[in-house]
Amino acid sequence: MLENYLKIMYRNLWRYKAYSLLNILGLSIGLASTFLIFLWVQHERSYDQFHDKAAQTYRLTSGISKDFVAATTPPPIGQEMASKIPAIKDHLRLTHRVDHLFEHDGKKFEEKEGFYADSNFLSFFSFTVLKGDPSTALQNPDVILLTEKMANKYFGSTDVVGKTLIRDNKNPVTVSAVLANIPSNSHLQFDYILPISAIKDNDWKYPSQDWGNFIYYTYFQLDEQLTPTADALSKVTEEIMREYKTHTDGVIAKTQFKLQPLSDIHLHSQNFQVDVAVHGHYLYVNTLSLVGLFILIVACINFMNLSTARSARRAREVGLRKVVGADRKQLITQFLGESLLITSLSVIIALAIAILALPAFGGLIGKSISISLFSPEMAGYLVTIVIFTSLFSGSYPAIYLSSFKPLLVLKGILTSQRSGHRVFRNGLVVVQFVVSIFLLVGTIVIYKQLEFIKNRDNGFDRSNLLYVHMTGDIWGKQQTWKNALAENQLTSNFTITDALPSNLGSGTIDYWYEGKDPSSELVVPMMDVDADFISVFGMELLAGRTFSKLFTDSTSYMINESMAAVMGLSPEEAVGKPFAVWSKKGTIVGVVKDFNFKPVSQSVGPLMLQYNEWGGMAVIRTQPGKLEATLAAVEAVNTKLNPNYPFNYGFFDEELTRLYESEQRLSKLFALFAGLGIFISCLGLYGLSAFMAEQRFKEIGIRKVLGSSTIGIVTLLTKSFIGLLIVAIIVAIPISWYGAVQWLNGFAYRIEMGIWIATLASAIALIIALLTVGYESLKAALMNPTRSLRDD
Amino acid sequence: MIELQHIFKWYNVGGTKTFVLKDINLRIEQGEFISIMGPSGSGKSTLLHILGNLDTPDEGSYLFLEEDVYALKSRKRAELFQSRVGFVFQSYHLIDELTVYENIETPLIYKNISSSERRAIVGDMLDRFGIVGKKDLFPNQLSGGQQQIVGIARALAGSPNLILADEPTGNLNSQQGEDVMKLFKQLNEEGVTIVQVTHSEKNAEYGNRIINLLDGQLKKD
Repeated sequence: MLENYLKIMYRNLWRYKAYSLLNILGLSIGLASTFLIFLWVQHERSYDQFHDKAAQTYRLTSGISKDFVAATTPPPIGQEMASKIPAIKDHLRLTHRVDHLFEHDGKKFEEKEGFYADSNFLSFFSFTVLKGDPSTALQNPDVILLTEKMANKYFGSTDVVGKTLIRDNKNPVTVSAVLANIPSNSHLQFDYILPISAIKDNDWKYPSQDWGNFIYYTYFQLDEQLTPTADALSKVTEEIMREYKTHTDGVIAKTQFKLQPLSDIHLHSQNFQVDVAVHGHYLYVNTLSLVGLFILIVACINFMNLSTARSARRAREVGLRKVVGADRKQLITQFLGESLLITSLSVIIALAIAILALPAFGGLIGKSISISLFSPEMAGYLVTIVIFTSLFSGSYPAIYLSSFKPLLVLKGILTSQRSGHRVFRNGLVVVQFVVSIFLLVGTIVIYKQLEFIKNRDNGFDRSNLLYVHMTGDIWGKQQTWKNALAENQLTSNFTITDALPSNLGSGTIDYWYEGKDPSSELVVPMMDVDADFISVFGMELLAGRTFSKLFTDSTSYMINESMAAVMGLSPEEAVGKPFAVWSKKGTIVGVVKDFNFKPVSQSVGPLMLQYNEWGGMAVIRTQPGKLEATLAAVEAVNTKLNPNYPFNYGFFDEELTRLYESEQRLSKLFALFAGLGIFISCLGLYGLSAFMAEQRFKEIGIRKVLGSSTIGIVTLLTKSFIGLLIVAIIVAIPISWYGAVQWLNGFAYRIEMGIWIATLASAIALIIALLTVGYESLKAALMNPTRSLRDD
Repeated sequence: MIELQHIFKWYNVGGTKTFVLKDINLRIEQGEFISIMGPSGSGKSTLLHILGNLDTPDEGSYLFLEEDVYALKSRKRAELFQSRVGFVFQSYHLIDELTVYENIETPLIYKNISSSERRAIVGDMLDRFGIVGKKDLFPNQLSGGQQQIVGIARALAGSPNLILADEPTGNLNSQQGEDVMKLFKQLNEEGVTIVQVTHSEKNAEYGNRIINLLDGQLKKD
């Protein structure tokens, strides 16, 4: 029996090659897309799960107010809480990411991917140690942990425990262990780790007993016995806060601490200030999971539609099988079996496509992911998807085909004319196009929003800005350096600032003005800038003056418009008012128009500027077309003044673009999958229209003989599809509108969701669909009518 | 073997009943070869379909092999007919995607017959109808007459007691038609009961009883 089924399936597939191709191709592409999305989603969800104690590990986060939460905590908190609170078994501290110069045997590089960590780093986390003894690796202050990658970069080998690197041109550090490269699904990404004990007490990173200085990342491991319910966790955090209050006073004592599960860090860290890295976003993961499911559904619908459309050809077979004794169950088994086989075949093709497309896909998502075909997880997933897809896509054709009444079929009357089935099939086409239009609207909205971000007025001119950090010897020769830059006409338009206004992290609540509410929890960031800041960035001064070399500005402050508004003053009124930060009293000398210093997901808040007398980085406005020459000039200055450090620089607009990496990715992924969704839908539509034209072959012939024009026939054939598309558009617009508005609400500055976006998406879908349907219709309309009428 | 009593079949067209079959009473004994004749639209095919359980009447009773057909549940009814009736159609109705061999085998695969037994039965059929050499051909590679022979072989493969043939020679030329009729005659002599619908006086003569239908009613002869 099985043999008989297999043969008939094979011969059917072979006989109607074009249909089979459309069917299998559509399903394969859909499945391949779903695989890729699945791999990505799985990767995003697997972050930090590889640590042995992942389930008990938490990061301590802090918040002054609902709007200001940070990933950092004060240095002493880890030790103190671990000793006072029984539920906390272990703790680990990390500094901010640090930047050091390393040298070995003439190879010298600036390394920006490092942390200082407590000595239990290797036992707390489960990074793979290739060489060295993990238990003692961070005991001494003069050691360093390297990853395989960095070890190879300097030594060309990983067998380097005991060898030395020169740090910052002076301090030798001994390699105490070499780690395997950090897995891409770790939220901590680094090339080296230094012991916290190596930090000097004059360094701002020094682990002082300052309970108000939020500069460390603190991780806790809780008791294994503790069931991490929300209640249990909040009990622990309450204890932490109670303990914290005994060390602090004022507004800072009201800090709210939270325990963030290690596995949540990657996808659920959207609002944290000074976080370790660019994180993923659970919403994007959910959105793409949904898109993956959509694509699979579209592909399955294709399969159903093509299979049932072909039913006329199978109807006679069904009728006959029934006449000679097959019951319905046997026929359903036969057709489900066919869909199982076709699905399995498609899964194999899809896997091949996915494997081939993986490198390109990896480039798109900015991560390298591998397919491990033989993992139990993958096998489970494949089996699930084969069963789901074959049942979902095969059930309707099976039920439909097996329902034919033999007598009617053999008389040549097809039950497919029954309206219930037609409505169902049309419904499927509508669903396909609803999904396609939804994806199209998504693509357009994301694209326009990114364009908007790129081109919107941030309050400054972002182009042609080059920045160079002060490093090494320049710190000691600042004036000479500045003079050298000022002398050259190419580099003379520069300013010294401590940070770029792209994503200012921290802030303070320790500022004062007349009439400030003492219980205010508003955290205001601060920038240290020099006299040329406003002019170099092209910002607008609303009142007063900028800092100036002509005045003694060490106690002068500038604020932005929003800060003035917080103080309840107009820009003009604010000028001259007394102001203080960290108890340093002074006056406001100028008010600058609001400019963005955060990603546009957040609105511009208040900002304070003070006069920069200590340095940081130089931001140079280059003259258009003279970038190369300017770079060469800066490099010459740096090499002369700072010969022991490599020359490094960056561009401000690239820095800004980097803020929207995950949006850029989402944009590309949406565009890709929207394209695929439409392609698959059109494969199905093409098959359907070809089938319809074939079914009405004779009718078309008769109409032509009776004098219908080609246009008339094309209209006749495309009319029903246009109706379906219009229904799809009507359904899709509100859904996608809602989705787009939801997404846009995540941005403080955003495009308006215009009717034109929905119109454009619908028009694209409509045109592509019409071209698809029109081709077959035109072919049918142009044929010689005698062909269809001949054999009667 | 077959006893039809007061069989009525009608359609409702615009509120009035149009009778296809009107009070048919018919007995058919084992081993008969019956030809049903009558003009187009007289209800011949419908009668045949009712005999083969492809269609049901609106009124009346049907005893098949002493069983009251319409008292049975549909499953039981299907079982009763499945292995006892073979159909031969005017347009053969072979499955295009299956070879001659596989077409003949199809009824057997729904009967829980082992594959070796199936091979024996199909081989027997091929042999009996002289189409061994054609067993791997597809229906569209055969002439109409040959296709109908395959159709008859398929109908006989399940060793039915009754063959129902709906204008089996309708699409064939006279020579092919005559061959088929001779084959039926021979099968009938071997004990198979045959009911055929035909337009042709000549073909009807092959049977041992002719039933004339007119406007859904049996004509007394």
